[in-house]
Amino acid sequence: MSGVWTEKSVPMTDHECAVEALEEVGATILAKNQNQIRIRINGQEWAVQKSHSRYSIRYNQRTQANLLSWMNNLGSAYETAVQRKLRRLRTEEESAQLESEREAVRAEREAFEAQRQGLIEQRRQEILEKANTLGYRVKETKQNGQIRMVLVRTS
Amino acid sequence: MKEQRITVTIDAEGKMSAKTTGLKGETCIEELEALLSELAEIEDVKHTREYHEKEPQTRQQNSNQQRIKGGN
Repeated sequence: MSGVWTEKSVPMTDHECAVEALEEVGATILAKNQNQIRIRINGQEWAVQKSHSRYSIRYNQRTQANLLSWMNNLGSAYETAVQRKLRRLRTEEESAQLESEREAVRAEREAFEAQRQGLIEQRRQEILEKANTLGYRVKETKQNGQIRMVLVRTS
Repeated sequence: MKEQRITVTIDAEGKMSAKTTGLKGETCIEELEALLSELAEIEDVKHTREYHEKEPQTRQQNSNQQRIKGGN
């Protein structure tokens, strides 16, 4: 083995939950739309952009990495916001008086849950394509909702 | 024939991790970046013993450089 890497936090796919999580870690929201959330935190302004189905910050790793310690808790804040939103949608779905209301909330909940699956599928596809371009053979397995892709190349 | 292997895992929450085997030195990070940098921030790659190994020719060059430096 020569290197191990793990993504720092859960990717943020939902706009509402991303905004909640950013506020939770102390950010002030300066402007927001579905593609971008502009924030100020610790005296610095950042643009959180939606790209490849997730919100992320592009920054210079050499000069700015030390300014991003506030991000350490962002993943858990986002996960809390996701669980809170899911609970709210389920409660609304159960307590809806009219069938049409219930259907609307159910559709919203299903779309919300599908966002994450969409991200996983997009990531899988992009890795497959990139692996082929780089000359790797790919063997893929799925277990307990986890995808494992083994890329092999001989030189 | 040397085998280079990268195992990528995507968990149920969409979070990725990767493990490389047979890739030494900077090649390890370069390959991870080539594969995943559009999807995530490739930082804090934990290096294992193999990472610090170098190809025989490179090792000899480094050894020479150290000697030159030591001789100053």
